[in-house]
Amino acid sequence: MKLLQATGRYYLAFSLLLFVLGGWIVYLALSYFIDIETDERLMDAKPALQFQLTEMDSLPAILVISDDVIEISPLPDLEEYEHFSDTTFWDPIEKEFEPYRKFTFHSTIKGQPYRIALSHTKLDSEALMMTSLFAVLGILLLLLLAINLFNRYLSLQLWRPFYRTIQQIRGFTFDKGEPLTPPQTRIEEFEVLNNALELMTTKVLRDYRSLKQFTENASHEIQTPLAIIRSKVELLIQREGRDEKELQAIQQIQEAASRLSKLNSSLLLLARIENRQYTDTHELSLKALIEEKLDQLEPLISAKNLSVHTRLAEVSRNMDSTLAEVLLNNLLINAIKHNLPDGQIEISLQQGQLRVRNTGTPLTGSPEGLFERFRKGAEAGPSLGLGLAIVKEICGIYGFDAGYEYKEGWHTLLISWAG
Amino acid sequence: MKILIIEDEPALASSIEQYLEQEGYLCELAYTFAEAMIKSGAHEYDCILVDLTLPGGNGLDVIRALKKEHSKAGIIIISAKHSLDDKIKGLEIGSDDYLAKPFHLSELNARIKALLRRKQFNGEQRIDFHEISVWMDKQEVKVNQEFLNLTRSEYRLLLYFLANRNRVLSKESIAEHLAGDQADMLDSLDFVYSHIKNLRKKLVQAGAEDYIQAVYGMGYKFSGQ
Repeated sequence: MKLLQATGRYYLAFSLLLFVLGGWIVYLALSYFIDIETDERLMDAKPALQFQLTEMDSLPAILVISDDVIEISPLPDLEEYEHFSDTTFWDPIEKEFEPYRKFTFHSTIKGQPYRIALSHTKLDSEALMMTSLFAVLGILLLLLLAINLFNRYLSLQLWRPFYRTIQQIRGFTFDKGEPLTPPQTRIEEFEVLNNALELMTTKVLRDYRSLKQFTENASHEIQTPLAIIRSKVELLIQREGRDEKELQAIQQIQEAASRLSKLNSSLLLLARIENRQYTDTHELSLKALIEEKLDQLEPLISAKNLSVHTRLAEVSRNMDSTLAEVLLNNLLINAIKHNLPDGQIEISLQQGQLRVRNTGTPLTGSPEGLFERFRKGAEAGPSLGLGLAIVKEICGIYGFDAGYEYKEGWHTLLISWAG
Repeated sequence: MKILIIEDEPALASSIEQYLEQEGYLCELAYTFAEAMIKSGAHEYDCILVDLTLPGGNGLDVIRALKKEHSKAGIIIISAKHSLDDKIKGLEIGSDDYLAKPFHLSELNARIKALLRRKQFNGEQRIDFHEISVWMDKQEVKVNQEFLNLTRSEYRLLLYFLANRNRVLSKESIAEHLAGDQADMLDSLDFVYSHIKNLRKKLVQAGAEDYIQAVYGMGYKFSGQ
């Protein structure tokens, strides 16, 4: 539920309560004043009635004069009594009970004590009261409605900067590297929120950048000692007359160093891609690049005796040349590495998509995890499992889609893009 | 042959020096920008290896200074910076080659040999090894004066061996030389064996001796002894 809706509902409930309560109070007040008024009239009529009754020869039990009803009943003895009450009489014309105000008093007429009840119809005053009540309630209703609507409009206006801020938060990404800068507002609370957000995002971005920078620097610094280890090992293996155990140890050092070195350069590459450091964007012919790459990887292809079929259209994309090279390299190496001896590779390039297919045994794990880091195929040996993660990272930068499919002995990697 | 090694990491510089001295080169070392400027200005070298990040300055400025003096030395940049910009800029201002760290000493050696050969003989470039002859400019190989038909990979492999005679070449070094320095290729080293097998077969069939020795698990050695 929106805050506006919630407040709106409370307002509405409160207004309804106020409306009912107000109506009730107005009703009570009106009827109170009308009763007092009627009572005064009845009281005023008392001496005249007494006089009139004295003038009459005989007293009937009930007497109806226009809107008044007079009931007379004899009393055994006289005691002072005056009482006002509400009552109803049957109206034979309207066929309904109608409200009357009744004034009951004791009086002595011609020496005989009587209980006299003088009733006056409240029909006129009732109508007046209802009219006034509805008028008052009508005005009240209109007022409440107007206030509600106005409040709603006002809230919408007042909360606008808040929604603008929310919109900005939604659009916030680390990639752009810019802190939030919500528009200024007159409302102090929102201004405080905006300032806090601006401060927070600036700090978060700074921390993120320094972390990324650290990763990159660390990878870079690791390269030098690695280069030293590798060069020393290369010198060590030149000496003749070593026994087998020594050679085995040296070889293992070399393999470990080599692996560390590859891992490091892959991580460095990933860090740099994430840091958006490859921005040397040109229009590149993917066809030419693929042909160049195939030429470079020919030693790997011919060693496995793979046959490569290409169907390459002239397709150009705006890409950083290093990233384009890495992307194609990793795709092709993947197709070579996970291929069977004497297997096949099919590369088709057309507007909007690049498809690399290769023969191979089915995937051992789930295809979803294929593009994850440090993902390794069961058969692939000491592979790093970063090749396709890098592919995915590069695709992410250019908004390409990377998909995988295995069907009837063929692995298919499909890179597609719009336009 | 005199080579100046400009490299701020002493351990790495000494590795390079050791490997190259075994090849018969005369090596001098410079660890800082200032040292590099003094040594490169004072002496003539046949080849200068330049690291780009130096204490006190940038290796590119050393190259600029050398070019200003019309130095005839061949220049190879050795840099840990995997930056295409540096590579392009380095080649633009007149360096002859670019090798990214970490590199194999055997690869560096092959590059230096190729560079010196280019600088010295402007016409025929020929390498002889017993009954094997290679004409670099025509990319032709003859064994006992008979043409030998090699694939491109086999040809490059033979040249790499000839540049590093009597040296143990690790499988990694050969793999990188043939297919380039590409990440996550480690398990594909099998292809080295397959190309070596083919080259050896062709050489022996053409009447050459079997010069390629497998060195236990480690790699291969091309040796006439």
